[in-house]
Amino acid sequence: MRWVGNDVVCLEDPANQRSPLREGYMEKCCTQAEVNWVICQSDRVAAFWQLWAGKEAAYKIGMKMGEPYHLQPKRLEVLPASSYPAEEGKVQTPFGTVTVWWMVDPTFIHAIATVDVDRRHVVPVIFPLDHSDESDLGRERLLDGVVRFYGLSRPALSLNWIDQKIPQLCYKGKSMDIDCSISHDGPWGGYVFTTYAEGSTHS
Amino acid sequence: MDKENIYQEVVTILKKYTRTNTVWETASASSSILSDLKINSARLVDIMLDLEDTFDVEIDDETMDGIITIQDAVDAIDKLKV
Repeated sequence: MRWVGNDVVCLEDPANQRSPLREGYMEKCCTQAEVNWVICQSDRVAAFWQLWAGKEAAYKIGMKMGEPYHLQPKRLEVLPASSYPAEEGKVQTPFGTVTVWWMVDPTFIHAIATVDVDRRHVVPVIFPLDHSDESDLGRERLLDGVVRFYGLSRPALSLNWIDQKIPQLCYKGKSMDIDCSISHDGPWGGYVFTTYAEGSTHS
Repeated sequence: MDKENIYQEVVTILKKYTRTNTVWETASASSSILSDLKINSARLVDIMLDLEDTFDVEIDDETMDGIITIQDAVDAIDKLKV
């Protein structure tokens, strides 16, 4: 199975600016190797959130692979391939190595994690979030994106939630062989979904 | 400090991080801090630091990983205070 997970962090959120600077904060959720990487970066706050977004994106894949529905941040070690803002890296996890790459902007970070999916076969999108419907939080944007990409009938496409945690795309009532993930933070929403790759099947 | 007092202190800390008061209308001891109270996962680390400061305890990684509900937090603090 091909998996994707994503996470969006708003860098302008005052709480996100404050938290990593609290004494003991990073040590609570980062391995020593991660702390060492962060303290070498010119923008430590943004660098921390790059790691955190990578952890969250990998965690979402972990849930799909049967891991507990509870983020245990130190069990997910993010290893960026370069200095902040790193373009890509790896996440060492109890369920194997996860590939991660990031879309970094002065105002947000969007992390995209994958297992057995080539980066070319993932569509990542970030967008300003419309908070008028708190129950939506990007769901409609994801569905519209999938409809456009695959040329599907919008009324036949739906998004179900497994255990209220894992999104599952369905077409005409049947699960699709397309993995997806949604995230939001403050004014930003983001989603990813897989595209068909050679050897994949489509329900 | 008995468990009821710990519970009240824990709720006071958690209320700093909930985005709306409506989540408290249906909250109970078994409510999940992230799913039910809809607290951002990154704030969970802030909550652990606040618990440590408030109760003068040290929450290790294993204990932190086991705190999912309000009751989990209360039980963890109660155990650490002994």
